[in-house]
Amino acid sequence: MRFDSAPSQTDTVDRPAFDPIGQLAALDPELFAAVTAELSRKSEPVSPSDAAALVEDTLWSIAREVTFGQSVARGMARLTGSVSDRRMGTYRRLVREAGTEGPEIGRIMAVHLVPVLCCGDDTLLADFLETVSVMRGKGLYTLRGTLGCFSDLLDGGEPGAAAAYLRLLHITFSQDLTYNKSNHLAHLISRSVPNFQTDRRLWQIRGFGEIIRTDYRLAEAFLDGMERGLDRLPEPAFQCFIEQGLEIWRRNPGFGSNFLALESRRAIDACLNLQTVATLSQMRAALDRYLRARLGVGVAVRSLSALPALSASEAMVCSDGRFIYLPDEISHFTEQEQNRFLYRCLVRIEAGGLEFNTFDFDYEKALDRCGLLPEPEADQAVDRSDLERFFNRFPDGVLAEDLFTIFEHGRIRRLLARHYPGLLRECLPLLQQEARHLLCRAGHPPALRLRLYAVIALGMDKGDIDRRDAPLPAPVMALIGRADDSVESSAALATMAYPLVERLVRPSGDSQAGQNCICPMITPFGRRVRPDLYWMTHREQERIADMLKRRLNDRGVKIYKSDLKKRIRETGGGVTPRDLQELVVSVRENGSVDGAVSSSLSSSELFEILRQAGVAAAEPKPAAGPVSWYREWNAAAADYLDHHVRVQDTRVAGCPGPFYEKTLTRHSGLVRKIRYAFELLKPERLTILRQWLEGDAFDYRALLDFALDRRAGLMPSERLYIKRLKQDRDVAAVLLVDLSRSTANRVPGSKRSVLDVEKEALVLFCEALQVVGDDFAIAGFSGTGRLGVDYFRIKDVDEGVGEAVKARINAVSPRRSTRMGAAIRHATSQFDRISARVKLLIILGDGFPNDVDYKQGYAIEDTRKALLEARAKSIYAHGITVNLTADARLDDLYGAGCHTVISDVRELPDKLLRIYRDLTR
Amino acid sequence: MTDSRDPVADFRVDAEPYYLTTGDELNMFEAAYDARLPVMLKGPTGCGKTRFVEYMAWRLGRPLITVSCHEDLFASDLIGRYLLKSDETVWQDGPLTRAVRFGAICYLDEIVEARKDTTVVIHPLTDNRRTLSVDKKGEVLAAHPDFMMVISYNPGYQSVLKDLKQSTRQRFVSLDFDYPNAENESEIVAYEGGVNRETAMRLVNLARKIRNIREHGLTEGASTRLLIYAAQLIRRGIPEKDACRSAICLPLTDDDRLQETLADLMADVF
Repeated sequence: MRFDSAPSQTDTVDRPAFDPIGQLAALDPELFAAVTAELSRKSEPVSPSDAAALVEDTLWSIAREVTFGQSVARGMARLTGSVSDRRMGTYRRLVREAGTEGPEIGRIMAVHLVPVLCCGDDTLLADFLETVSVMRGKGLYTLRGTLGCFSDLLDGGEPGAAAAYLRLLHITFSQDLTYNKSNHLAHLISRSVPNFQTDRRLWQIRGFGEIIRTDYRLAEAFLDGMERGLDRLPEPAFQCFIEQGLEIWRRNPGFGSNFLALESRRAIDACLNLQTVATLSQMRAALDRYLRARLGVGVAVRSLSALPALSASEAMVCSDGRFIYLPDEISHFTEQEQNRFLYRCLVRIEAGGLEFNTFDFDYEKALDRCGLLPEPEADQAVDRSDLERFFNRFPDGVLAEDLFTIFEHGRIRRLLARHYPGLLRECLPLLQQEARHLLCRAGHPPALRLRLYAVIALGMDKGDIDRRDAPLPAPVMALIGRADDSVESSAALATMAYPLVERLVRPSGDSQAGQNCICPMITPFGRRVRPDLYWMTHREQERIADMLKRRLNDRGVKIYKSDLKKRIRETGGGVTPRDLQELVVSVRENGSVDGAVSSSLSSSELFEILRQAGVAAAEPKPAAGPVSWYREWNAAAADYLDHHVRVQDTRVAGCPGPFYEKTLTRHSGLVRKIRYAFELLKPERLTILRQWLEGDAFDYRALLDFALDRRAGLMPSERLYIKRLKQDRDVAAVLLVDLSRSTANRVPGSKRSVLDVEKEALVLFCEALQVVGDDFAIAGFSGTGRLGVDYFRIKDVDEGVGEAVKARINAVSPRRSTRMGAAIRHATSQFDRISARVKLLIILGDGFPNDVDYKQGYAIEDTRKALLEARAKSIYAHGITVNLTADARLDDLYGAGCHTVISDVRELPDKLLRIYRDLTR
Repeated sequence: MTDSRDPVADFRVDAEPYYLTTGDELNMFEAAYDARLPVMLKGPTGCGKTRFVEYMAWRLGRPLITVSCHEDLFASDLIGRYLLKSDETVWQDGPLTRAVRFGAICYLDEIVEARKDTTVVIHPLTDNRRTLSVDKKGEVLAAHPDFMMVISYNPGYQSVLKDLKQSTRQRFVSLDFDYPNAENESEIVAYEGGVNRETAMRLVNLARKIRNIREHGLTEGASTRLLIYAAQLIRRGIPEKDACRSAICLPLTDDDRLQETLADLMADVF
């Protein structure tokens, strides 16, 4: 036994001279620490009898088994002082009873009785004991994983769901099941239920119970269905669907199982019809298209979950100037159509901020408008956006931001009314309805800022919003008439309103009692101006524009930063001194425009401003697919190593983004040329040759001319026939792209990586082959070692170039090493499923095969062998190596004449297609 | 039918056609006519090419003979053929020959649609020779001093197989046409469509949005012509949304998803 001195925690608890708890210190210092920590959190000190009881039971149980004892100690520590003596007595009795039968059941009871007793529901306790008894009848193994979820539900404040869960367990294990089936179900239940969504799991657990009661074999089908969309159904729809499914099951178990698993078409349709939730994935394509039409630039929608947690906030919609962020699903209304409408409304209104240039706010212009002086030079840090700088000028930045939002949203509403009356007519009522809803909830009287928002921003009737006991301040309302179309005017109005509103907001109920700063106002759907998000995305551009501006300013030339940014965007970086001269606001006495301007422009800086730095996507998890084993050629032994390389076939997880469209825009000239060239490749299915010397039928017009010419005494023509020619083109191609680490290298003289350029080539390849109509597939490969080769399917042969494929191309990123032989063999095997007269395998890489134990000559020989195997199957293989100067060993690798070297990867997009065209002409 | 006094009387443009100048095209065309250079009008459909030629014909006081080209257009359709008239064969001039002979402006609309062996007929007319070879009559016709050749061509969606060959292209002075800017376009739509400026402005606004998704699904954006159609329907009392749907959205595409986007845009504006 050790006689450690007690840790300092004991000092905080009022203890008698003889401390029973202290005995635990000698027994198990860690346990002692945990127990004392728990006890010290109690509101009342622990009575000596309780302490003694704790120690007694702990010693009794620890003697039987250590973990049992630990659970008892912790359990009793938690219950002490939190439950009545009667309940404590119940706990001790039940734990002892269980412990007598065995330490494992004892431990289980010690742990899981705690939350049950804490919640204080005797019925629940009875159910719990009953269920445990049933499950014990099957075997202790059923209890091991399953009760954890139960305790979590209780601790998480969901007693209803916990009770339902108990019933589920009861239903399941009271059935006649073999050991395997029981075990399997226990595993299924414990793994799936914690993943049910909090706000829906009560009825989902009940539904699960129903299913299992009917036939436990349906459990897996049900869980599959949950993953595929059942989990999104609201309660009545969910129950309706389950009933339908069980009804079908009664008539035909197989069909019923398919229905519940959402495998049959009927099930999918039924689910879609019952669904009231609208999801972003359903709406994304339409919303993106709308934004492209409305704004004409590459603005797209993204999920709110793409934002870091701190920025997400409670808003349903926000924007950073490049993307509009929306929730993954909307279930605000009870009808799916209304939820979809809400998505569309949010996008249309939020696009107004982008269209009418909220983020073109210029700090300097605003200062000029408001008649404020700029801060001293030293404080002019460029570490936040102009809007944030402006708000920081006020004693309470949050209030300033709210006022700005109020007036700015009002400005946007007025502009929308002018340009898109239909939009406002459809969408504004929704916002106003939500505002009314918030006003009702906001207490009495409703918050001043929200009321101002309702009238100024949403144009609601002042008479409806105004209250006799707390009227809207007239001077603030009068400001509305002074608004103009510029974003800086919103700042000016906010400045004027600030002192008036601050006085009203501070002493009254708007602020939290005792706090210095007020909370931001709540707006319908959480819409507000988000300068923080804007800064996250545009920091670099802002910094450079600011630097340019300062340089010019140092030379006495004043130009507004927002004008600079705008001109640079418009001219695509080709800002000329003349452009700058047009933007000049004023020139100081000793300043000269020409000198200042010509020395301030640097093309690399301008380029940087334009560089569309996309937010890097998190590494997507690819969906795992089938595994294949291939042999490898060992040149030294002149034989194959059978079953040597493991290739995991996975599908790239797509990450939607504008890469595909941007590439098309960026290479628009090339795209046109490609379409031209590839359309020439396309044979016209049926060519009709008129006035031919011989053919299938007479060309009647030529016959008429024949007759007339003869009458006129002229020599008639012999070209009297029509000939129909059928041309065929039957080519299938697989483009195999090396995704090794080296593709992340920068292209010399550019900021892009080799893979970026290869991805652009992929985009153009897709476009070209869609035109000519050949079947094609695209895949990437990489991996480490012979057991870890990954074959990433980007596009399958029978797949069209849709959103999924574009998203996958966007998501492609550099990986690890290059085990080419295996990848080629796997690609070759893909051709087994393709029937085409001409089969083409194009391998796109930036160097030689290189992997763990796969180097130099060995690797080259194996790759060569793989290519020969392909050729033996009439698959024509061609290699394209980029970013490498010519190397004679490439001839060894691919065969002389069967490969192309492109030393400057930037020529790849153009040359890839030329190569393809030449190969398949 | 030819008038014995004025064989091209039917083709004269008597009333001034409405045309709003958007750039320098007037001066360019007049200069080209002065030098009798052939002119090519390039631009998307429905942006005013044909109307421009009509206007210039009126302005220059020349008759205008228009030929709409198509795939089955033979050389004899342009040049002429012998016809049977009660047992006799009579030569009938084709539109091109008539223009050449009597000094009209010959306008070949959408020339790429015609076959290549038909198009080459115009080659001798478009260089310094200014002659037309009428093989059947064994005649080489020298062009009337007032004759001028004008062609139109839409470079946007043509199948490359029907593209204009360099040997043809490089015989013409080219004028580029595009949809007018918002101001001008709404003036045109207001006048031709008979609606007020505000409605015209809204229609033009809608068209501009639609043109943003050209190449992203739509092959062509909404042309000025479609806007005029919509305006004319609105003037006759058809509700704005229905008029736009029938005149602008439905003709552009059959794709459901694009229709949905177009409907959204329409709902925004009206």
